[in-house]
Amino acid sequence: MSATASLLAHPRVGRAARAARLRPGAVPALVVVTCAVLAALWPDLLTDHSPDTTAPARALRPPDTEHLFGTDQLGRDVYARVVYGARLSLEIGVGATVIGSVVGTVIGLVAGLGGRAADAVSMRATDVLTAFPELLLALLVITVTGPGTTNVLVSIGVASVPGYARLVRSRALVVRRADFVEAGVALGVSRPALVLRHILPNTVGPLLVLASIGTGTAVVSGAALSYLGMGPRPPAAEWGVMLADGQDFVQTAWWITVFPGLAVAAVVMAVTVLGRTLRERGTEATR
Amino acid sequence: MHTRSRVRLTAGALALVTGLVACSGTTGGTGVRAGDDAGPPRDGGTLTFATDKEPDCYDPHVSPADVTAVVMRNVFDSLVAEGPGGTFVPWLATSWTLSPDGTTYTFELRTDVRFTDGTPFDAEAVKANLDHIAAPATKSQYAASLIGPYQSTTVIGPHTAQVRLARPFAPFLHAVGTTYLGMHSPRSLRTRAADLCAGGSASVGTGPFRFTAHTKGQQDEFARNTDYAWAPANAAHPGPAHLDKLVVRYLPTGSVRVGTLRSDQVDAIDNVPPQSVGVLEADRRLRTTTADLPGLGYTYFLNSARPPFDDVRARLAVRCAVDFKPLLKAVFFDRFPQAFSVLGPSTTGYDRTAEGGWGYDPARANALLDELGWTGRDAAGYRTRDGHTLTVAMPFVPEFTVTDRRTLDVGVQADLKKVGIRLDLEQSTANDYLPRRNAGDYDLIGFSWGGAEPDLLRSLFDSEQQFAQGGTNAARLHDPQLDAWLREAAESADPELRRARYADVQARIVARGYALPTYVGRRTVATGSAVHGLTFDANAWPLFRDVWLKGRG
Repeated sequence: MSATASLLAHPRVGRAARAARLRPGAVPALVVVTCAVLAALWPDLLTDHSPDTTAPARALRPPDTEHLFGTDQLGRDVYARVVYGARLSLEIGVGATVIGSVVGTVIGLVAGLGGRAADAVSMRATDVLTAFPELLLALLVITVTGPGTTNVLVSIGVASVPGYARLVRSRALVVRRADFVEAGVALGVSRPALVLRHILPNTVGPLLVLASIGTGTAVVSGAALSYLGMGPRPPAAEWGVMLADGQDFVQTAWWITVFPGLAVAAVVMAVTVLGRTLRERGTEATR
Repeated sequence: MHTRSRVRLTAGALALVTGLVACSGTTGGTGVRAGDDAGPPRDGGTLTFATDKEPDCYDPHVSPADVTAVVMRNVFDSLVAEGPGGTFVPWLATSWTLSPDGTTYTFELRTDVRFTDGTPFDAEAVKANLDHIAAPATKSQYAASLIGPYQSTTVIGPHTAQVRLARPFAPFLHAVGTTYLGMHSPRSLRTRAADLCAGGSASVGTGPFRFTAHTKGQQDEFARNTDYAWAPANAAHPGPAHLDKLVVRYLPTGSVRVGTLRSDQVDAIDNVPPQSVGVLEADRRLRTTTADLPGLGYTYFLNSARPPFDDVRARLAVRCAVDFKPLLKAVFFDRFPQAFSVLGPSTTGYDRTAEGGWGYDPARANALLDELGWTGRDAAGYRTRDGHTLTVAMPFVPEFTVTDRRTLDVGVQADLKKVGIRLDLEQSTANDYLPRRNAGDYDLIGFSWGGAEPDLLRSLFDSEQQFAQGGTNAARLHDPQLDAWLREAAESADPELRRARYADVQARIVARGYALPTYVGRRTVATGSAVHGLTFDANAWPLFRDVWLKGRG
């Protein structure tokens, strides 16, 4: 009792524990995300089967001990394809978020700190982009660039820029009026140093929260675009591609679509739960 | 000449596009009947038919699409109707003769036929239609190439038309019998030429139905032509259609079509996906009817104009590497048999001796590739030679293909990997694909093309039919022997000689590995149990003029 109590009494640990309590899903979410990352980095740890090897004679087997998730219409192991699919799906999710948040941050900082003209131009531009739903915007971009994994990643990233830009701008507007920034100006700290050392670090918290939730959205968007045939080339295992491949078999071989669908759902929920947990920790920290 | 070749170019391109899921022909030639003996046909009722593709243009003189021919068959009649084995029976023409030199057809026409706008059907109408097809302004993408060496039509009498060709052309009657050479009302051709593609009220024919309403992206509606009394000699009855109304709905997704049929939202569905055929057959409330598709089945064409497939050994290695039997069984649920010739068994001139003549032989595939010097292996297990991986590219456009075929492509890719060939399936857009294809920048491409007339082999393999010239010589062949046989067969009026030449052609294509046939396509139409009298024509196009509904009205 005393050890736990003293541990909980420690302000940091206590806060973490409270956060974990607030989000009862946080632990399973962490497990799911760990598994997904593991599958993305070392898929061969999780399965002996190859995701691409066909065996038409063993096509459409329901799940059993040899094929945990059954086999698809070409006799490929669905479990292996789900595991190997994690890399592409996460690549798209994380990559798109990195692009979106980095570009968004730059635009947001320019808008928030660059004076009235820069603010007006960049914010009206983001207003226009915001008028389109993110997925539609991504589709527009991909229509121009053509299909492919990288193009899907970039298009989703571009589509998420306005959200990040607005967040960073609003933070930058608040922070630049803060006393410590005004003090820095008074002390003659250079502008780049001010931005890098004082303003940027103070916008990172909310940005991280938005990015973690955004990763989940990006995974879904990636799967959606791949489902529409805009993503990776066959025979690549990708969750959206698997959903598209299996859609004609929903009535006869549910396992081809259900497992990749579950994988998308689980990862997205897990990432979102973790993102919310982060946000709650963030709000507590500011209290 | 220039215009002509440009027209043909588009023809090739679009026929390829639309001909992909191409369909045609029947297991015996003509009518495979969906209806059983359910008593005497009764009139009345509306039939809703769901198919997968929507016509790109409703003028069959322009569109090369299979679905245009199917849908507009209800509106446009032809001079003759094709029966089994390349035989022809009277339709709008009561009789016809061919001049001894094989270049002039004289058609005697029925005298009692009227278009649904009241215009009488006569020799002037035939002339107006054939001239419309051949006119460069029509921009025909298929019909113009179907009538080949058409020169002119002369009106000999009010009901006698003489068609002159530049040279003998045996496939001519087949062309005349298709919807692509269907008869528009001359008044529409004159006054509404610009609207013909849009369909609806501009499409006026002599057919069993009138085109009454068109909702883009959804459906088309047709109403019975009550004056109809001139069905072809092989129809079940000569008079007006039994149905009051025919509705054609466009539902691209196979599982959706199956669902709408099973929930009674439609009465009949086209192109039942192979994996659903078993389910529908087991459903006692439904009936399925299947017809073999004549013409070119889904076939991979190997680009023989550049390495590695410029060497016959590389081409044969591909043929030996693919284990089609289990693959087809898995992809098509045993519904489609393996094809051994590029032509389907229901095509006139199909060479039956090819069946079973070649098959899976991975040892030979490996030996051939070794012989070619592809003896190294890279990290992924692909063969290498002088540091280069044995990679072949197959560009494709998702909209031009169907899911099953893409699954088959991936299965072929996996089989080729087993002998060390890396096949890249390169997804492309139509805009990128067509120029790339015309420039020959690919190692293989796959498509099918329906049609009961074997002359289609000429547009696929004759050296003058390159993509850039408007043809469809997808293997990029320059084979003088094939050219000679194909041209001899096209100009000969002797069915036996034609048959022999087409057999030679089919054997050579397979022996040289120019093209790799895959499966015999079949069209399965499923109907509710109230639907009777559904038949297919020689091109495996479903016909609605004899269809009737039992117990509804």
